[in-house]
Amino acid sequence: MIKSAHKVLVVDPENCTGCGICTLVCSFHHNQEYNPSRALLTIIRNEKNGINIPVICQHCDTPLCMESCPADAIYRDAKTNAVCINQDNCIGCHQCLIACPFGGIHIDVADGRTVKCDLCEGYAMCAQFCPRGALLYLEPNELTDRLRKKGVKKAADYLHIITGGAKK
Amino acid sequence: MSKDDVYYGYAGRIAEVDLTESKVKIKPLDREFAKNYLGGTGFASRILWDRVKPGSEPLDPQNPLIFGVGPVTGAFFSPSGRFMVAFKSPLTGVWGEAHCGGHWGPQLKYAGFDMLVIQGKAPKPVYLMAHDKTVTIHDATHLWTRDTTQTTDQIKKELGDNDIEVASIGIAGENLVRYAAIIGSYYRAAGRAGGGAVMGSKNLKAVAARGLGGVLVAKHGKFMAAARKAFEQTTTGKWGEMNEESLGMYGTTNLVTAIGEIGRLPTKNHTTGVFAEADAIGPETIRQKYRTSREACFGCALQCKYTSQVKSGPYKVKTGGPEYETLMALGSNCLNSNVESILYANQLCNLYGLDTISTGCTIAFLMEAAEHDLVTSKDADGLDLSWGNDETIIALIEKIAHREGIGNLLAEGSMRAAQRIGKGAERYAIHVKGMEASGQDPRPQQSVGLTYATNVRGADHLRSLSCYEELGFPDVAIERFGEEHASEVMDLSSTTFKGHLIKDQEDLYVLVDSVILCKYGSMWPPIYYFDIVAQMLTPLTGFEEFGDIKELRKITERISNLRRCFNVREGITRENEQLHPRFTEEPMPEGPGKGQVCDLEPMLDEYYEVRNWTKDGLPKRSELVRLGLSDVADELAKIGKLVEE
Repeated sequence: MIKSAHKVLVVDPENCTGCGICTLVCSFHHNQEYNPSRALLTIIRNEKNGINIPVICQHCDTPLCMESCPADAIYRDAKTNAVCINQDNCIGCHQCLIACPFGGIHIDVADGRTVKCDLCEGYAMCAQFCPRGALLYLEPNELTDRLRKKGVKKAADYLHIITGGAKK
Repeated sequence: MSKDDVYYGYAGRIAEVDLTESKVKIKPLDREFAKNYLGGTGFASRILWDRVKPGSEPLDPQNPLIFGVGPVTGAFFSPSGRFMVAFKSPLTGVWGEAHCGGHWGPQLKYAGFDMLVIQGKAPKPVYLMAHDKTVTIHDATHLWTRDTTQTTDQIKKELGDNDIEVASIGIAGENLVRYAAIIGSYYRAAGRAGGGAVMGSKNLKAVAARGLGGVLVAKHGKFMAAARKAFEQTTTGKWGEMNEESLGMYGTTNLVTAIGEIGRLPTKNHTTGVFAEADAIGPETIRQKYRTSREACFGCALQCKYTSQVKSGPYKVKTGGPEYETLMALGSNCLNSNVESILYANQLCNLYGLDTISTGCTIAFLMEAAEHDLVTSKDADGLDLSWGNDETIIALIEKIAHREGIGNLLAEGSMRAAQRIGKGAERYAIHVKGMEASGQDPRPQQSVGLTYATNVRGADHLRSLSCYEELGFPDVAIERFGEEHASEVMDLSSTTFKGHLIKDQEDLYVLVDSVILCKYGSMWPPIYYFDIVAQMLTPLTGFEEFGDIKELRKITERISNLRRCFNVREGITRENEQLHPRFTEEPMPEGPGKGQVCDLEPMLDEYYEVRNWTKDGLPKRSELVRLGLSDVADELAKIGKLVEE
């Protein structure tokens, strides 16, 4: 497959079971402790109703966090394409937190720093350890290919309805 | 914080809660105590030994109720994420212990605790909230009589945080039903032995937990390498495929088929191991018709938990599970093949806080007693007590939880109900030490008999079940017990070597229950053994002792012995470590184990010998001294329960 410049981190919420392994390996990678509260991604959970939705930074092409930052603390990493925070420049004004429509910016509960996903310098620990494929870190081509196949499979599942025939 | 204050793996803190005085005392975790007793079950074994007055009523307010986690809880080592409770059991009068999955355990650790030790009785209903290295006591008057879902929702709401995890009791615990469960986060249960009644007796409606702290590890690289290896072992390759094809596809419901195949799916109050209508309550039926979502326990990559729903009809319901044991207890064991009624009954048990196993098996007992005319419909508030009547099963669950009519008798458990009924009703109360038998049968698999008989909490599988021969793992048996003994291990109907086997399993499960891991991954499939856990424990905790397999085995033997000594002090001897005559005298009527009975005595002889206990089931001083339990030996000697050799 032809490789594009950068992998992307995406969510397939249908597959998430709320195990939180992503939050464990994320917090360990960034803070050397297992602490979901310090993870740079969140799972919105409603256990009673079986709802689990991982929420991650989208590393947007036009990052509103970057645009809103008055201190030039937010930059794009050339190697991974990740939108990152330079802690030396950050003044802690939280403008980025307000600007981000996805809730991708976090205030660290232990030290109050403004922090966000940096794709683990390209390791994307969350996707590496997601046991269900709810978090994926893939070449865009791989990803679209995967989604196409999923779409085709779904169409095949409903073929009997479309054609009016009996389901196998 | 000085370096001495830093704990690895452990939170380093224990909360002592006195409900009578409404006081909370926070104490640091003693490192020597941790090295000697590991965590979870191990910690509880020492505390219950030290604090339970021998011969006391189980529901005496001074008896402690322990909520505990282990050093690995809240760190990444799949499958973990569980917690345990320990207490003197109102069902058996001896060692009571139950474990529960979900997300509660890690939240207790993140809140800063390894253990909560709760004593006394609150003057009015309360609930506890563990958070920010402290435990607060809250009024629960408004929650009393509410079901576990309402209680969980209300606590999340009034404390304003949806990520709070809640372990609560329903009306069964409030009414001191002897097998009331503690329900964790809507549909997980610390089910067996009556922990719910202990909470009820303390006026303790719920224990909530939520923390923003983390778990530190001593050696980052080494621990992460061990965690990664464990993750890969359980999710990829042959074990990974096996997990996904069974637990992954079906959850524990798959056991209805797997255990049916070896002819020990308890049916009709354990009279047989063959249920003709097993498919109706089996894995495919549930997967195809009722499943809704998959809900993992925290930090687990195996993810066996599913939720399900009956969309319409009289049994319209949404519930978590059902698990294998529930399908057995409220299904095959009551000859009930109406799967929708089982899902509904499962949810009733969750809402009221009842152990589905003891509930179903007590109902099965009543149905068999009725079959033999020892009780009639008139005794049972006019209910039709014929086998498999699903409406009766539902009605009885309501009555048990509310202690209404016949339910007041059944709430005492099958052993006491049989004594009350008299007329030889004991013949139909299938229990050990007062606990109803779970979803196994010792006749087609002899080692199950030894597991049931010696299990410190009574007749169930979770303290020492062997799955090598149950589900066929000869290679693992060779690896662990050598060529010579593997064939004996693998022979379902042989009693040889089973004493060694069950002692080994009991110690392994003590390790699993103290560290705290899930039985999946250690019981089935048999991946984790002493070696893998040892490799993980030293980098996790920084305690070198845990990395030495010999030392680690000795710790587990210490805990196993101490738990058994707790029971000895309460009067348990060989006479109580026996099986119901159904398993030893009534041959299995059909299936692969047809004609067999369980030959317990030679296995029991061997077990006591391997434990270095006497034939009468009493400990020897030399063994207790070897394990660092001299003080325990002294106390038992004073009451004549120790052999001086």
